[in-house]
Amino acid sequence: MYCYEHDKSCQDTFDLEMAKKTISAVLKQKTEGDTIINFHGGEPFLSFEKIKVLCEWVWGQNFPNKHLFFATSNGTLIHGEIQNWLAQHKEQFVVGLSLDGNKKMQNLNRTDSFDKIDIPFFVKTWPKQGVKMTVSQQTISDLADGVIFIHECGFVDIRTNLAEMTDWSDSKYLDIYRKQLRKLAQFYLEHPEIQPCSLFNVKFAGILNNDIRKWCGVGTEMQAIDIDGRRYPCHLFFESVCGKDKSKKAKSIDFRDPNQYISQVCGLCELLPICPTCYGSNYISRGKIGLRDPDLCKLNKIRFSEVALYQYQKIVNTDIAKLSNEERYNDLRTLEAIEKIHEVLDLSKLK
Amino acid sequence: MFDLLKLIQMKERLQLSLVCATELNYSYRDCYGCEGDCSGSCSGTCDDTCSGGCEGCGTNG
Repeated sequence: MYCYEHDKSCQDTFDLEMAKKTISAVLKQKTEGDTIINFHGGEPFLSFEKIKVLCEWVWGQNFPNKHLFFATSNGTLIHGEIQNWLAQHKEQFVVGLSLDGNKKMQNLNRTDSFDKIDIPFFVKTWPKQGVKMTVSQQTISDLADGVIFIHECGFVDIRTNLAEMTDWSDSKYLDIYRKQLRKLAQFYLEHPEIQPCSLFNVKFAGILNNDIRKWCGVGTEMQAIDIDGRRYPCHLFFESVCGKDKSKKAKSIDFRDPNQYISQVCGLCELLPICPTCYGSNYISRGKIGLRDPDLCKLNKIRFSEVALYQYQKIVNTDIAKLSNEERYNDLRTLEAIEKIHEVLDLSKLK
Repeated sequence: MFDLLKLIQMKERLQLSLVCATELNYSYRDCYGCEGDCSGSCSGTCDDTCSGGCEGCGTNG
């Protein structure tokens, strides 16, 4: 059960035979790319017995399409038998852990669950897999400490984002966010051997080509299948999440049409090519997939200015002789982009 | 802190140091991420060398 679910009454899980039929139809067709089959909860491992039966059945079928099972988990149930089974199948089944920072942060966001997670198991079993770190209004003031804590746990890839569909309208968050990002930037400049969390992975060069990208596979590469077998653009469009009417209306959205996923206001923004969004959240909160949260917009701008400053500092202090040709090119493009937007981001005024 | 002049100087140094792409037999490219092939949970397994796709996903979990 997720916080964003509109209808929390449904306790059912997927039907095994229907799941076999659906997966079979997908994997029988050989495609160019691999297929990722994602179990999405609530907490998927509440249905471990069914997942186990389904996966082992799929692995016994020798389908021509290459595939991988995946689940995001809060980790609380992954012990004993489940751990053993996952360790045995770690190449075929990957679990991404939701870990929202240190003990205090995790317990604030996810009701006292920190001590129930075997963190070393995840680090050891899937060392390259990203950790999902959601930052809420309750935890933003500890953001930097939380990210550093996750680095210290041994995770390499930390995917941090501000919670969607929550209220960020209080202007105090702008200052808090900036201070936390500044603290993290300092940490990364002092520890260049550490791969920064995803907040710092802004590809500024996208601004130079004004590339309009879609940020996820909603309605195109991705299909979400509800427990009754109905298909949706993503799980945020399930009836249980956005309500019956909105779910029905979503069928008419053309997710390939940029006019649908870019609003008029955002279309005029120079930062659009680097500005991530969640189309499902937009649809639930504001009725259109392209209508973004104006409060997150302000926070994103803070992020871009702090990350631009960090990337600028990193590049201007680099020894060019130690860079590969491709790294030089990437750094050059980054600087060109930062030069182009430094006024929009007020970089010269930052202290 | 940010210094536009320093940025321009570094840009010029990088420009001068670049070896022509054709000599290296590859094309430069700007890399922005996985172009939307991440799975729904947004902590999916998108593992392109220039990962970054799926950011912004509102699945707070």
